[in-house]
Amino acid sequence: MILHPTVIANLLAAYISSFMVLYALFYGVQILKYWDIENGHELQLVLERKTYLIATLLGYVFGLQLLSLFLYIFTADSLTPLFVGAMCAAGTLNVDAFGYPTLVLKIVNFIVAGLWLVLNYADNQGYDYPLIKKKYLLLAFIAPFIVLETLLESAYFLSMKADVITSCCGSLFSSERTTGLGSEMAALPALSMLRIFYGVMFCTLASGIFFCIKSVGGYFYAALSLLMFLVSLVSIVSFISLYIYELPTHHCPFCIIMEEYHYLGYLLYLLLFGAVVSGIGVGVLSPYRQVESLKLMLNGFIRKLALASLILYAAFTALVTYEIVTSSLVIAYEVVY
Amino acid sequence: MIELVNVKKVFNAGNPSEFSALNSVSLLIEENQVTVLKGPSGSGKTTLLSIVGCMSRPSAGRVKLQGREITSLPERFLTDIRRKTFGFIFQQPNLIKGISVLDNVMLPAYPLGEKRVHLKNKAMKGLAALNIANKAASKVEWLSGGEAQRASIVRALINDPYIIIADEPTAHLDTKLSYRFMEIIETFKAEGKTVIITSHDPLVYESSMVDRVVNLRDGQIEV
Amino acid sequence: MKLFIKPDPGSLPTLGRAVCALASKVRTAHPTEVVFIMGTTTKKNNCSGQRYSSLLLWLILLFSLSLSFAGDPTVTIKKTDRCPVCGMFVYKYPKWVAQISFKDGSYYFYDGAKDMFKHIFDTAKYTSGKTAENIKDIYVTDYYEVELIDAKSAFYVIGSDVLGPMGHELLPFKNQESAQEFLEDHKGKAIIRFQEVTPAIIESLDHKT
Repeated sequence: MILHPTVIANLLAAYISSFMVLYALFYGVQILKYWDIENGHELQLVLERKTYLIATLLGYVFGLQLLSLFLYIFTADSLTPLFVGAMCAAGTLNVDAFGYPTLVLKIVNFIVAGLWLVLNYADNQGYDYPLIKKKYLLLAFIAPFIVLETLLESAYFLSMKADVITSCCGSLFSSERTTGLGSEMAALPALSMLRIFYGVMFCTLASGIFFCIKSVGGYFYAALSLLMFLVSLVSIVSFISLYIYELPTHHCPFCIIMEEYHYLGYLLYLLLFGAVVSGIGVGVLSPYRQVESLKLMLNGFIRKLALASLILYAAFTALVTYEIVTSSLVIAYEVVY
Repeated sequence: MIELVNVKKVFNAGNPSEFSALNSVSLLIEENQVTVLKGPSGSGKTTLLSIVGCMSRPSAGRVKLQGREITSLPERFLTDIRRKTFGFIFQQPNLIKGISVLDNVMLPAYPLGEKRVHLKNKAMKGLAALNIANKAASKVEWLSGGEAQRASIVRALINDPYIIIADEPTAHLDTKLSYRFMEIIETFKAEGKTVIITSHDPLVYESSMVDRVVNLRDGQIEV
Repeated sequence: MKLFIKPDPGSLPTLGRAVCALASKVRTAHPTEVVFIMGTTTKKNNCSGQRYSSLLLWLILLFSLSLSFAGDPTVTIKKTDRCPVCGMFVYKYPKWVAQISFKDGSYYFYDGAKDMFKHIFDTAKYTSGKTAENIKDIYVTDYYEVELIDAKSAFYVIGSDVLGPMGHELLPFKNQESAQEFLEDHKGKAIIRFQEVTPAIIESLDHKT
């Protein structure tokens, strides 16, 4: 194992998260089984006290989880000097078989952890713990993914060897290769992808604004948020990266986080991930608008979430558009990359 | 209007020093009445009072305040109720040293964000009603025992609560001051407030304005 | 590395030979210090003559020094320069830099000879509108001497165990001897010339692990 401080930080964060999630899950299961707000039994009162602690703990743990995605990418970027052939996080992640699976799982866990935080916040606004069972059910769903992510991440860092030649992002995300998701995304025609990106973004923003005004169509907006997220990720590889690098063949989504590109990647991904979590959050909370103890505040909160999501998506689009407009690259219409 | 259903309170549960302060207490306290909880020391009076006043939670059982269940409330809701509903008068005046009497009296109202001018007026009126308006600017260390107790009463009333809770209020007062105190309690009753007092002072529980005396012994109500 | 010069100022042919020997030595050896050792003479009438001769020697030396560097590229690598083939920042790898300058004045840097050849073989793909015919000069960095040499006359060793920033590389050398020495030291497979490099060879370097 490479004893780089970022590696240690990642592993420490992962182990703490997993431990806390499992500890919380133990009580979560008890709550799911025995919770009954009506009765005054000793166990019920103990659980009421415990949930206060557990929910606070999990709030911090999942907050840490959100950060760990960016820490992971930062770590992969920092370790590039150690591996021949790696020049950015893409190469470091390719050093053994666990790098990319861990990344995918971290992205999934980011979204689910963010949704848990949204649900927890809403539950805390009600005086009778209205969403408590849903909250701990979601925890039970997330827990195996968190543990799996910790295992994969440990495997990734522990089986890293410094004498491996890894692929450069130029080849991983090149349209030349025949296999691999990276090259498939890179091979998508840039101009079509550009049209799809702006088209879906327009629909998403329109749907969001409609929801904010009319309070109708929350689920539709949530679904569009998720779709826009996926389209954005593909777009970054397909054409946005080309404009940022001003290189017509460089599709790597990880080089944009480097210092030489002013850490732009972190901002882009922050906006994007924030937007998708708040967007899907709208859909997650919408079924509970009629709950007695939440009636007063939930509608307002859902609208705030939608607004946050819209602002983040709009900022993302503005940033992307700025990069495209100010780039000295011009993608020739007839050439397909 | 305050209903206790099978309330239990156990301290240090699971340890050898486990102590059961309240054993399955069920009680109904009526509105606009003066109720006295009477019993020897160690009978659980103060514990019961603190549970009723939302200051601690029972180990088992439920407490309903005007139909609303308060023992299961999350902390942020509980503080809200505590602040607006109850006025606490403790055995010791428990005034904060180093700040003036006026500041002490206004303190419980700060989180509610009222305008300072209105608050000050209310505080001065309260102090005047108990004849300690001239001590408003004094430091609390300079007050006599009776004056301090009266200042703590004004503090208890600052948020205009409809339930007053007093824990052994006459313990450090002489006879004259104790009678004075009971007169103040009578004015509360006249204003429509509910008063719950714990005491083992006969002057209190044998007083004519007391509507009900609840006898506690070893954490249970003696019938 | 110090270079000691003690010419006899009185003798012009000696001077000429000294200057020529000096020029070639300086070009290859990158001296960090050039020390002139002036001969001392007790003859009074030679003092002023010696002073003028040493001044002349200085001027000739400086002139020849600048002449010897005339053919090398004088563009400096900026922090923002990236290899057009793989996007890597070239300033991080000064020992591997390759350079191509085009007839229209544009120039590109690469993080290794391999990427440079990739650009040559498919120029339009990485820089649209340019073709290989428009290339003016090509330079690579000699692995031992760490200085830019003309790519077309260089000797490339492939199959060695020395890895560049892009993995398996073609390592350039100025002459056959140093290439051979390297091949023996680092288990190289073959020495090839510029004209012998083909896309197939480049691809084989990429697919090795």
